[in-house]
Amino acid sequence: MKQHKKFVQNQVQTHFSQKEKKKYPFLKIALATFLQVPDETLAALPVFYGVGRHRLRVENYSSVQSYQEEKIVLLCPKMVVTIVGKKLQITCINEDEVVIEGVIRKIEYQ
Amino acid sequence: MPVISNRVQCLVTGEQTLRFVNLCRNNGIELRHLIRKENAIQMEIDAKNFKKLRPLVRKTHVKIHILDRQGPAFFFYRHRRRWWFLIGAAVCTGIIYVMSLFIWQIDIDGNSKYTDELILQALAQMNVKTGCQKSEIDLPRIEEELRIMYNEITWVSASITGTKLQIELREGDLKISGSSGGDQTGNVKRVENQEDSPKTQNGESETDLPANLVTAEDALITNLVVRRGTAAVRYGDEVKKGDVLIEGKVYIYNEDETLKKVDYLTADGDIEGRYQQNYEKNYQREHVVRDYDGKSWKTYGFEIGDKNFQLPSWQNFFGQNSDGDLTEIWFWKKKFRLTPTFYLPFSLLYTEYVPYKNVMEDYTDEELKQIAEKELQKYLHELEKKGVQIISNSVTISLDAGGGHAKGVLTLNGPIGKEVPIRSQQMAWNTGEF
Repeated sequence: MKQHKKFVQNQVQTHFSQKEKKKYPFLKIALATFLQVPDETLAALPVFYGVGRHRLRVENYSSVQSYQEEKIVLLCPKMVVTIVGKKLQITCINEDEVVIEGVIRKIEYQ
Repeated sequence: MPVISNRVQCLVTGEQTLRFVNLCRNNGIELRHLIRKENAIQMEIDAKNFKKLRPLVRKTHVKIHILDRQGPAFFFYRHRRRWWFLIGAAVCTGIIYVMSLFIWQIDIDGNSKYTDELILQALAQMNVKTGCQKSEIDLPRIEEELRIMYNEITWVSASITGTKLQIELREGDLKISGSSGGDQTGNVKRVENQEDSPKTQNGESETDLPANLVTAEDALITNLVVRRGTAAVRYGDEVKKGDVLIEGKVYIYNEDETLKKVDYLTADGDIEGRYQQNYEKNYQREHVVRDYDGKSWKTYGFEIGDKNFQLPSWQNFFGQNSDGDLTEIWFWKKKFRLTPTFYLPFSLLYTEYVPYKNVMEDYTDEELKQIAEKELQKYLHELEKKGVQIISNSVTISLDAGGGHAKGVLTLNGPIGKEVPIRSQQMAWNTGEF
């Protein structure tokens, strides 16, 4: 368990700021890795499925904060995700997932 | 989302449109195809969920404008006054379904000796014809009955696809093995279903009766292979018509080389000989040619089931075609079908009458010569197909005022044996006919 926690911490050490590290559920991720179950089941993290550059499916999100053709902002547990692109359109939105189509240029995590 | 569902396309305007979207999501209402407009969002929602929007609309103070309604419920409501059309569509569907329960087309494939009409007659005896119900047809029984009725049919397959009954046949094959069947079909041995072959009084099949192989022509033996029996000639012998080539008997000897007994069997083998055949054909210069000088006329009709209805032709009314005129009748029948196997009991009939007169004309020399050449080549080709080799051809074509003559001698090399039952041969010896 401790080894797994150290492993995950080392992975993100150089990329996460101090503030982000406090919010991020390292322990739960380590436990999920130890138990060999998907991380999102224990850590309640959003899951992204992308098809090329034109379709993105996001599961486990909280709400849509902003919706424009060039930018869509999603509120997810522990983070805010911004999808930047052109002609973005929400194809389907329901309790479980949101499907975004369009020309996706970048995905930002905050 | 099911493929066919009732959907509503609407435009949501107001200041809190995004809050409205999030509230829909939290309340389990699925939204699709969200398109951002200036101060609005266009979306598609299921009709059954539309009623659940009212409290959310009140909460977020947005306005909903319905742009379009799609789905079967909206279609039927829009056309609610056109109920005759819907009834007609339902009745038409019912009629097509009822028609699919019957057979409207019977196709027969693979038959050469037995005509389609003969097979159809046989099927009619089993109460299988166009217009009969599919549920009353017993396919294994049809296959069995056809094999029993006709000896030459060795394999039958009957199947129903759509409203078509497909019958596929295979008739008895003819294989060559050295005995010619009377008209020199080359290396041909008749293979029949042994159970159906005619039986003698003792219950034996006629094909099992002892038989000799005798020659059908005066020939010089060029090839001799004996499979069953005792050879009576050798390679290079000259034989006359009727000479025994292979005897249908086997001599069995004792140890001291005395004859113990003689077994009779059907002689079998490949015997080829070189022989000559006369070829003679006469051709008349005068021949009949059809002159289509009159105007043709057409009639149309239609067929429902077995009943034919012909539309009257105006030529019949005004007596344009007189009795005694020769007419060619061309007939087409077009059967209607929805798919390649779903035939309908309706057909369109088209008949064209083409009047003509017989005119006597003479062939030119060139034409006569071509005809004679063509027939000779065709005959030689037929011989080659039967396995006969053409050694030389001295046929000449001569022409005169009356016509043409092709005459000559063909030297051929091919099978010359034919089976003659020993019993009948002995009878022929007794009566002196052989």
